Amino acid sequence: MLHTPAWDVMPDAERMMTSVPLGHQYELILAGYFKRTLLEQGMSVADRLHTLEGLGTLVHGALTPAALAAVAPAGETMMQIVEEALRLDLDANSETCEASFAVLTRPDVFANLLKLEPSLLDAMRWMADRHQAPPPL
Amino acid sequence: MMQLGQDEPQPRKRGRPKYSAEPLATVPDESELGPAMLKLTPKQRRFVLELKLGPAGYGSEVRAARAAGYGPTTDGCMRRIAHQVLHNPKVQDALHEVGGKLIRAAAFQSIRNTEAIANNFKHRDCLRANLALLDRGFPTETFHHITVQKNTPEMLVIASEKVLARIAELAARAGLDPLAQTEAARVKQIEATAEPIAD
Repeated sequence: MLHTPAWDVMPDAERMMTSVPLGHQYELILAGYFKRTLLEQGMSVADRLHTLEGLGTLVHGALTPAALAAVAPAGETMMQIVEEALRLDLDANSETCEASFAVLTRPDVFANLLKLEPSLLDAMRWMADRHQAPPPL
Repeated sequence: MMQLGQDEPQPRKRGRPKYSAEPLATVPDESELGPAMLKLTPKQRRFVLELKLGPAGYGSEVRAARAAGYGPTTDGCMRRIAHQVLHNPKVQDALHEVGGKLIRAAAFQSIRNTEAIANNFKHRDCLRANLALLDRGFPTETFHHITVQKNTPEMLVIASEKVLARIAELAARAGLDPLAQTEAARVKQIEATAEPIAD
């Protein structure tokens, strides 16, 4: 594993990253991204409902409702990073999001995203200990 | 035994005959040129057309460069100039443009030639020509290139109480503020009263 500056700030980040599967890491990033889009006022009712339904489908396996709820809406920098990564899928005309998955789940990239959005690490802690009570809403 | 002076092998000629550098092409008006050709300088345009119309093979690039007006210079310099011009990306694009037209135009002649072979029962490639024509006329396998563009389904959802309740439920489950989400959904609604239009 690469040693990144994010791990100096968050000592358990390295352990979390090795314990949470890459697919779940990607889903946590998308959850933060879509939560941010839901904060925008211009979204139509249909799109809002569609996005919320999509967020709900992310819950499976280790990604519990508590972990999903722990993810905070993405900040401006993270939004830009995720949008650039998703644009790679558009450029590749890929529906399976392989390009963005490969970029965003790279250990160094994900470690920096953890630094930008510490709530991702909180969510991963919930995933690691999924039998705890859910966080207060 | 071979007699001296007779049937002696002639010394092999070294080198190859040079092509005449007389220009063969006439550059048409700009209105008749394609976009790639329009990006070229006049000399580059002439070079491309000379390559198209001139003899093919060894030395053809140097001949085209001379005919296009590059030089006068030594053979070595002219080879370098021809190489540089030929490998210029803009010239490559123009060659592709001109070559494509040439190939498409020559395709009709190729069809006629294949047809002639196919009708000549004594020709050894008669069967192959017939099969080639058959494949193109009645292909057993067809390829369709279909581009499907997927968009978000255009749904018309009214922010009814039921929908707002569902939004609040999903928002709470995702850890978002249910009240803010329902308010945002309400804001988007355009409320109006329908009025009949007078004729």
